[in-house]
Amino acid sequence: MAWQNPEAFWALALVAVPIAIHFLRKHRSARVPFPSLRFVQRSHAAAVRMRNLSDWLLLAVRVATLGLAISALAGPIVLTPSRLDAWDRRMARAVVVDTSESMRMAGEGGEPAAQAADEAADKELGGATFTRHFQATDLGDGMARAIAWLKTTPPSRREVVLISDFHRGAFDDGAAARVRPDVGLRLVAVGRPGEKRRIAGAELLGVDDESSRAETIELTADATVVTLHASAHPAARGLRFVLPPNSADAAGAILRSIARAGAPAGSAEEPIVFRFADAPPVSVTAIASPWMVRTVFGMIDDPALQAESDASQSRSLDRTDPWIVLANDRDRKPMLRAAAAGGELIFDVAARPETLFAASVVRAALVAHAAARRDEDEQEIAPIDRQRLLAWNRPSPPLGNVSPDVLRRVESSDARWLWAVVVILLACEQWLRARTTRTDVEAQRVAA
Amino acid sequence: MHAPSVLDPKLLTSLGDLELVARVTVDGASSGLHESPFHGYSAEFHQYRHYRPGDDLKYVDWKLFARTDRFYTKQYQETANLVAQVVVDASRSMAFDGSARVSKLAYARVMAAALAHLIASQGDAVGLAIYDEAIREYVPSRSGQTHLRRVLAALSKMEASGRTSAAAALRRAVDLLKRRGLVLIISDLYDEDDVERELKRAVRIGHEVALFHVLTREELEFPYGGEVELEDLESGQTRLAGPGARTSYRREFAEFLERWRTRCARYRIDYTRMLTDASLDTALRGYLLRRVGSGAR
Repeated sequence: MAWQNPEAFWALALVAVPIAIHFLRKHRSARVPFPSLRFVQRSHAAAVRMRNLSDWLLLAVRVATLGLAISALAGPIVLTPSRLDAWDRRMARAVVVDTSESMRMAGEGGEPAAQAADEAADKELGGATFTRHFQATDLGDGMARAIAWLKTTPPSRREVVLISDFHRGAFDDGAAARVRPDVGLRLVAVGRPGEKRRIAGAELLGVDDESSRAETIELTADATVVTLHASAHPAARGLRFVLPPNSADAAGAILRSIARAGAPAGSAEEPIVFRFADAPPVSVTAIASPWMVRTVFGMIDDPALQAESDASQSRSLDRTDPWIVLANDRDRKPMLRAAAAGGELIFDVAARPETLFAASVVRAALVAHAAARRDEDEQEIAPIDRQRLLAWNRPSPPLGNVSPDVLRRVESSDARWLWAVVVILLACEQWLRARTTRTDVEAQRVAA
Repeated sequence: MHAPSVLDPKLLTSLGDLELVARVTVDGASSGLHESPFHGYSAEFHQYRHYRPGDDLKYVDWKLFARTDRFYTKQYQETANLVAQVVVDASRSMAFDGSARVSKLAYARVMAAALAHLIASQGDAVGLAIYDEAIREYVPSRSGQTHLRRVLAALSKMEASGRTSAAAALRRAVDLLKRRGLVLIISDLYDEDDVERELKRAVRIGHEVALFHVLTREELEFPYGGEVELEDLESGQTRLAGPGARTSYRREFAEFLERWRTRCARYRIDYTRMLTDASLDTALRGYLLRRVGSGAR
């Protein structure tokens, strides 16, 4: 026998109550002399007093009734071999379907992988006892939700089925390790991308005599070819500089230098402003736009910024201060911080525009901004090797030892049998009490 | 603040002088009664004798003194027309006093004394039978003040003891009455077995029977709302009564009272119910008024 709610047994302490009441009652009631008991009916509660064997029996029945009722509340489950076998024959299956951008791209046959994924999902959902369908653009997130649901399913074998095109980067050993050992895993690959894919790459910054360039990326299974060509778009769009006095040329110098090093162009829809040391102050608010957040946090690990700032830099996220501090100097004074001003992302650089740090900041911001706008992983054309996919597969194990986690998921306990016995005992208690009363009435009649 | 009534049962029953108590009770009960409820004193002149020191001066014939210059005392032959037997239940159940702090026995004692006094003052004969399981004390019916004092003395010594067996005692008390008379029974009447038969027999014989049913307020109302363990005063048995016992008790006790009322009505027995927290004169007066009204002698 196992118990779903063993903590209910604390209530067994209540069994002491009828016993205590019995012993206390004998001394608690005041004894009052009365001329004749002819017309006085015995109290039902008097059955608790231990005058004879039937009272002992009554107390025993009551204690047993209370004990069994508490046991029923504890959720008893009889673990017979047949019951465990039945649980093992059941399957709880969470089907996670990849709905990322790559699944919507046309594949080899001209049709997107999403269609094949839906068909595969229907097939998987029809073949198990308990099923749930999850959609996720990120397989890791989908898996986490699937595993959370599997924790709530009734006792059964459990598995997660991932349906995806499994392009390179979509799944890895780390993701497979996050699946619990008591949950099976199956990876179902669907769709087949074409032999090559051509996508638009980044637009590169061009300033003055440096013309803007745009990338075209051609992906094949074995190689990635990037072609640069002139772009018709204006250069340095979406960029603005707040400069100190007598630094009019500094902006141009920065742009020229980073353009030569290669930097993405900005975006007119997502403008970025750079304010340098000694420049007029700007009024700011806290960052709220997602593209600003992605850009700012994309800069955190930029190696160029790390090299320029002190190794002890810290990001300050003081909630009262709209500025996000990205780097500090040795004296812990902010060197770089970010905030918003209307629809613009403001970077406050504690350096003059002529410095190398200033140029590094501008380039890092443009790189982070461009990366945040495009999920290049989804453009990957090469799939994960099939053998590798198969290696990640593992069958759902049998239930084995029944843990408290399994017990809590049992749909219904065997409490109903105990409740049936409780009802029978209550009937016995009624009968015993009535018999005691009848005996008293008879005795009274005889005495009279 | 007003002085407690001299007829307050608690006060009266606490007085040691039963003769005084009886007289006060009778005075209170019979005030305003223009007729005597019992047969009046009837005495016939019997003879003269010489005055002896100590004779009551009211019996000196002054007219004869005026004629003879000698003192002569009149002697009368007393004629008692009524023989009465006061029968008092002195079983243990009569010891119950309740919240009034006046036991049924004390109440019965004063009532018996008052009745005896009233009867004796009318010149009639009165006797006493005290019973529990059997007659415990018996004073035969006689007239006169001296005899009355014997009766009052027996009542003064009366204590509650033993269980009740009224039928046998009643039979004996009735048999001890040599001629038709008045039987006054003072009891809580819990013992119903065969009592009806004895009462019926007493009435058939020709006695006039009056029943004084003494009860406490607690017996009538059963004021115990919670759980209480009750001990029978006679048997010593105990019983635990719960909150629901009151309703059934009141119902059954009302039926018990109704049975006695019906019995008494059937056999033309005067039935007076007395509660120990009610003034003694009120209870007695009701009986006396009925007796006067019925013309009974």
